[in-house]
Amino acid sequence: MKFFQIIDNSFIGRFVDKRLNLIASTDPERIYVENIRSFYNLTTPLAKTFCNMAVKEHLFNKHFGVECPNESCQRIITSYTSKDELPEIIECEHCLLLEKDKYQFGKSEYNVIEFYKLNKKVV
Amino acid sequence: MNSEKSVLKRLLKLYPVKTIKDEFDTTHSGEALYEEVVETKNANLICNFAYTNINNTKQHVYIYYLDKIFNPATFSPAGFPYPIINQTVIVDGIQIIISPIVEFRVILTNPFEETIMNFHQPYIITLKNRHLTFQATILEKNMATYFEDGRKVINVEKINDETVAIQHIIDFLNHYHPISCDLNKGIKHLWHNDRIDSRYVKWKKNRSTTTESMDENYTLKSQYPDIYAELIKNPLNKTIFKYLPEDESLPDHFTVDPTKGEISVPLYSKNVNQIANAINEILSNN
Repeated sequence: MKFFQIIDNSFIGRFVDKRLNLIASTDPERIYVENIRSFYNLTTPLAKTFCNMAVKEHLFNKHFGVECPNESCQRIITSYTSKDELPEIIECEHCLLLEKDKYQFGKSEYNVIEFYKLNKKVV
Repeated sequence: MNSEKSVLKRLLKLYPVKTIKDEFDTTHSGEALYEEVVETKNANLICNFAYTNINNTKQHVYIYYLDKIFNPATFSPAGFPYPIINQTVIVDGIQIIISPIVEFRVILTNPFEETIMNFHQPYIITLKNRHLTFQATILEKNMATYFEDGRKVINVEKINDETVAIQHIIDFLNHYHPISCDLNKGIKHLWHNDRIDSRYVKWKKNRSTTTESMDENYTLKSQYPDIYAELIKNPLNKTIFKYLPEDESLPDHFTVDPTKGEISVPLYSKNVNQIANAINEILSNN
């Protein structure tokens, strides 16, 4: 089933218009709350509620990405399916390879960004 | 601070622990490993180990283009700006090993102190055909590792780093008019043929500079073929490449600033040929 059909058949499809815009612009492996918010012109809390409902309907899987705290990097170093898996210390290989002074970070230093993936079992 | 043993210990720390253990047949680890080697082996033995194992170190590589083919017969070491430790004839050229002393001015607190730290920095210099290549061992940047716990390094200043040494040698070879070798063609050939893909790329657009930094372990060409098709027409700046085949011929990861003629391998290679293979593969397709 195509991504848009899944969305269309879900609660999101019942609530909002412009569904095709979401389909055209979103990577089903990386769905951020902001993608949903901006496409449907919702408030952030409402978009977040939609995403969490999609998780409950097994439409999305929730992931926790560890962001590199170096100002010039900020990429997602790696991601986990549970907050319990977040590591005490993480190394950004890009910052190591680019020879930045700091490339290892403790849990208190890094930011965790939440994103969603389309559940492949429903595709 | 700069006793012979201290400087030799810093030299040993530039090499993989496994290489040191294999050479000196020691089972110690950590600081005790270095302590044992400098206490039981003489300075010549340690330096010989260092000079014959430069290809095991992390390296900055600088490649220059010569305006005429290098002629080994006319090369005279007289007046060379650094003592030559070894000079070897290779096909169409020569290879030289040097190990200048690099000085770092370090300022510490608890208690406040300003000190100078000396480091050997081994190089392999290759003059071959139209290329001059410097392979400079990367020195430890984190000076705090050389001081007791509780002391904080608040400033580090390189007094004479590799840019100084390289400039002196370029001045010595100025009759060849060395200029930075543009590696865009060679590196793009490897990328086009899927030998490598990029995890971080910086390139010049007509009126801006763009960076694409891939999340997690994704690589650019495999994920964004349209962006690849666009950027490949433009000059590349500092870019992280991942070597794709699993034959360990090239380092797993390395950075290249093709427009400046610089390659960097800031992780230990898996074998002594990997860095030389990377240089040769880029230059032979350049």
